[in-house]
Amino acid sequence: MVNVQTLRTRFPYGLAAPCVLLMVIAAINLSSAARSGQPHLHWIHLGRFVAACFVTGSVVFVPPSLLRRLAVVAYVLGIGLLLAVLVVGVTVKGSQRWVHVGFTRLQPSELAKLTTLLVVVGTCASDPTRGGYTLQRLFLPFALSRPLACGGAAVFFVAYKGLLWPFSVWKALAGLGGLLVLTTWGVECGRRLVIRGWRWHEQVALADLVGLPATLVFVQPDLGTTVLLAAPAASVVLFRGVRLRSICLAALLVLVGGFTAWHTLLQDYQKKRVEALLHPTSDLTGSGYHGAQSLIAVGSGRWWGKGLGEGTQTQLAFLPENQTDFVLALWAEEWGFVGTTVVLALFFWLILAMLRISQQARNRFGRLLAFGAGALVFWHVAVNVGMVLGLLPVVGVALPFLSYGGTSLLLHTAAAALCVHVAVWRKV
Amino acid sequence: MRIQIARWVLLLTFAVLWLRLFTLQLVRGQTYLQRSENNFIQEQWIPHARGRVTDANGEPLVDNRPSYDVYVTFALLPDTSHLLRRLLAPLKWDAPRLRRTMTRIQAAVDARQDVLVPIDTLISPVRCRALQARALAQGVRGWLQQWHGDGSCDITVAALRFPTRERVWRQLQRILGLEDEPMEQLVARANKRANGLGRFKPVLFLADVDFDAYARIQGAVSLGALSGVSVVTAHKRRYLHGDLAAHVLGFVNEVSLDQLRRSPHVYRVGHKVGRGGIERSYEEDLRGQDGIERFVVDARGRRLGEDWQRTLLGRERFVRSATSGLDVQLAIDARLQRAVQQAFTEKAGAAVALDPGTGYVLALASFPSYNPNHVVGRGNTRRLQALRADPLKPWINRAIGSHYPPGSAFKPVTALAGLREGVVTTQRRRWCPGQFRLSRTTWRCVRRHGHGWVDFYEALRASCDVYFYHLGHELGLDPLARMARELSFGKPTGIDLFGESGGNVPTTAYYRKRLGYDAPGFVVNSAIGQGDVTVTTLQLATAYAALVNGGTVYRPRLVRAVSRDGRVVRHYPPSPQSRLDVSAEDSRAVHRGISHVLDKGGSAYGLRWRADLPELVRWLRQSNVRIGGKTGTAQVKRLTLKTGHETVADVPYKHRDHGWFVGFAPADRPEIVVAVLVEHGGWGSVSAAPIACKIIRAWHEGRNAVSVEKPKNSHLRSRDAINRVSTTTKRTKMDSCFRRNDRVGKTTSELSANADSAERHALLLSFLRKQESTVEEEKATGTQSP
Repeated sequence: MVNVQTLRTRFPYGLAAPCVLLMVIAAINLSSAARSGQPHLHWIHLGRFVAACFVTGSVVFVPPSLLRRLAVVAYVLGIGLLLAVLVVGVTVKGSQRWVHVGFTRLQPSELAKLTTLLVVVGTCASDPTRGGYTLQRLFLPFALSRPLACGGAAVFFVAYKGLLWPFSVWKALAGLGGLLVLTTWGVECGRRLVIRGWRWHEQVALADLVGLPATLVFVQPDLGTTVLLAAPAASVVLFRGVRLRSICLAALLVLVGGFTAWHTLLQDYQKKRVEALLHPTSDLTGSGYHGAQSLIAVGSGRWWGKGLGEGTQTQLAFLPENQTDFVLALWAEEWGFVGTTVVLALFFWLILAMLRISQQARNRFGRLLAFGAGALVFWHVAVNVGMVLGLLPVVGVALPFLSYGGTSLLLHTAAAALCVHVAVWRKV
Repeated sequence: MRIQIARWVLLLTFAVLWLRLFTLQLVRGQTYLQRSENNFIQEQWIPHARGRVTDANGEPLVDNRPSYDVYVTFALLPDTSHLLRRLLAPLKWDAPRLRRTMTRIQAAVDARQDVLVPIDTLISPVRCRALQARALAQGVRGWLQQWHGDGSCDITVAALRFPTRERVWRQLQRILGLEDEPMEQLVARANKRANGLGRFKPVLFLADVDFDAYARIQGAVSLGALSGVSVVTAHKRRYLHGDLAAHVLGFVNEVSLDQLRRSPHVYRVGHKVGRGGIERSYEEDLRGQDGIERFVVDARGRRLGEDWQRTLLGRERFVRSATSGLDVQLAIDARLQRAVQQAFTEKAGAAVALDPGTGYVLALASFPSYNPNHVVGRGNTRRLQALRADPLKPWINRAIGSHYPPGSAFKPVTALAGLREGVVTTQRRRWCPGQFRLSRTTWRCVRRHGHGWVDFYEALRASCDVYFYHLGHELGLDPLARMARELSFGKPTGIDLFGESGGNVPTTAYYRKRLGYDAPGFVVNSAIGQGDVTVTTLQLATAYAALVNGGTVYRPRLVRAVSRDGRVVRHYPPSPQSRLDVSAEDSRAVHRGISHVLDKGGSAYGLRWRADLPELVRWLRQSNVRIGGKTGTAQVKRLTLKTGHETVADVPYKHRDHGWFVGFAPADRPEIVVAVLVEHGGWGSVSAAPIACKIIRAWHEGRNAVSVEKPKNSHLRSRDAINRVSTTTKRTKMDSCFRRNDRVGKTTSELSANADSAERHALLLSFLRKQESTVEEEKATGTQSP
């Protein structure tokens, strides 16, 4: 049990400090962004942070065993929300990402990142496998039925979208067919689980655990979230241990798969963004506009920046998404190299603290959990900063703590809270 | 161990990011700062006014008037779908239904019917009130709500009154008074110009609307109608006297793509460039420089408020104010030019009046003429087409751009060459039997039965062909050509206009090259200005000026000075090009020979008896101005004996002879040389001579008027004292070079004339040098103490 005394002695102040400092920076930064847009942005952000601290802070008092079980529930809930998004979601800028939940809009894909991570951590932790995972363990269960299921889901999805408008008999039939295949697959899964007993973590492939939400996010379409949903989970699996031979084989498969994906799966706008990265000056008014304006904002900051509220790129609206995805460009423009170095250093400190907590954890679950949280923050920071600095293609990824956005803030606060949980529940 | 790997990965990643940050912000920071400024600083051009053109007396010929240009900003035009979506928001319709309604309204607008489009019927009272509140807040027109007793309502939209883009176009069309088709073209063109981010910038819709339309558009704009439409005032070229001196002035037109590419820093799209005449040759002076004003704009191209301008631009806001072009003062006398254009009543031709003492062009005209105001711009398309289709080609400046055989007007050149080479003397007489034979070819004299015994003066006065056949034959082709070239024939005179033709002076080398041989008969033709000799009207005037001014060949000049706000920036003094290599005696002999053309026995003597020109005849008889000159009738097509007897009217226009007359007055000390060409006008003495005499008469009357009344613009006089008649000033030796009266006084003392003319020439040059230096001094002191 956790009492106030243990909480006080074991509370990871080294983790909380960078979080709080980052939030202070976020508030200052958003107050600048607020000048050109809606006022009180920074106050809303801070308020949400406090609320998120209370909500996710309660996790500290949950014992790890209960947390593992709750993770499964949350995972199933997350999948349900993702399905709901596809059906009744709100379309913004060409992709269906948000769902109305009572008073507010929620971005289930952000939550799915956490639930997926938790479930992967739980599975890896309770898996008795020794000497590293093989590809067989990662992918094989249900391997044969997986393409069938995916195909069924795809057909159903397309047909469902098609059912709305304009209607056609063929689409309706295809939708029904897809539904039939999916049902068959579900029944088969259930049958095997019942026959083999409810040891689902042995029966379900890790790839499926990640693949299902990832696919649902990918079809929204949202490439950035898909990557950032898979990457921390993959990091956790790697941290748990994968055989070298399997890694090589997987790398080969990824190369081949990536090549085919480029020609089949990627949306046009995603391809354009990647191409804009490769040739940043080719299309400044079109797909390269985001990246180019971001670079201008960052570069024009120089040593000390232009000063709070003086960033022309933001205040005159040349920099798009300056409150969310490109919030760092705003900071870099107004606070320069010095300010941005401070932010990078804070993130470095935060992730180091998470890794340290992982090192000191009581058991494998705690170790993997803290590492997973660290990986989550790390991937977000790396991809977002890489995107702002023009090293990576422009994908919609928020910067932890700094970007305005409730769900994203909740996600990263939860990651920090989980680390606090691990730290508090560590062996004395 | 794995944690350690994770830490290394973390460190490596952050190092990469940090290095990238370092490169962006510190290594390439300056570049990006520049680019961020380029983002928000937009420069706007302030149009400049082109320089004005005045005549010698300061009378304005070309100036600028305000032109009202209509601009359209597409992003600010009413957006029907957006408005409708906002108005109908209380109904909570889905997208397809909204789209259907929009399509219906659009269809009604397209059909141009003021129909009512029912939007929805029987709406609940709550929503009705919400809809009404929104409509009132937006202040839209054409939005009708019909209330029922229970508080519910129907909504209809009056398609044509509802704010749509079509409505703006329609209103604009009504104000501008345009037909449907040109309006559609204008809209399409503006649409094309406004692609991409251009939607946020005003694009030119229609240039130069009249003041009435300007006032009505401004009124509509101030009332809030016509959103997205604006009117900008610019400068437009105005030729004050219509077709007066059209070929001298030229006209302006929009800059071509080629010119834009060649000098991108000088011209911008929409600039006007001189396309002919002075407008073209003094383009660099007339052209000013646009001013630049800077603005802070946001990402959508909207101009931001004053506080932003101050904080981000500060003092650098007005980079440069507009500089208007320099004013050009011509040597042309507008009154004389007007007289020239009134005197010329024939179909086509040219007239040039020169001051023989300076080479300044007093008048230059080509006929038919055109009105420069009518050759560019909207509404002139039909006139332009008519002008282009005209077989007489009014575009061409015949005075400098077309060359014709000079006919007998060339004889003085032959005569002077003969004297110089010693082939003839003034005393020696020849027998003119009316024809000249060389081997098997016969040339006929203008007088078919011959002139009898003619001496040098007689030959020039009566224009005896046979005398000159002999002379030419004895002289040879090349000495004649040498003389002609010295008198500025065969090459451009160098007048400050583009498109000057050089004419042709054949030499033996020319014939050898062209035909492969050279025959003794060629020079016989050339001697009387036929065959392959061609000259321009200006060349002829220049040559005669040299013949009668004592032997100085001046380069003809149209521009006296270039000034800014009344201060002379650059002066164009007379530019003597060369002196004829002839003795003063020979020069005087030719002068004397061509001084009696209107006297008894002269080839234009008939003019004194013309019954159809009583006023001119009276003036010729009564005035004390003696006019000298030479007629010329240039064959275009050899007419056989039989056709030769026909009257002029029977010959097809294109085959008629060209009529020439080159006159100067006063005959013994000329102050003006007038060359007139009447294209296909027949006899020069009949067609061209009256015109030239009328011009001289106008000049004479104008001069008398000037010398009687006080000089109007004394500053002009004080600035260039050259060639001004003023008896009050003290005469210095320097003055004597330039003041006609004095110089004439000197030339009358004939014995010292040769020495005098050489001395005069030297003095002239030194004076010019001095004057140039004083002008430069003026400029230097002017810049020091502005």
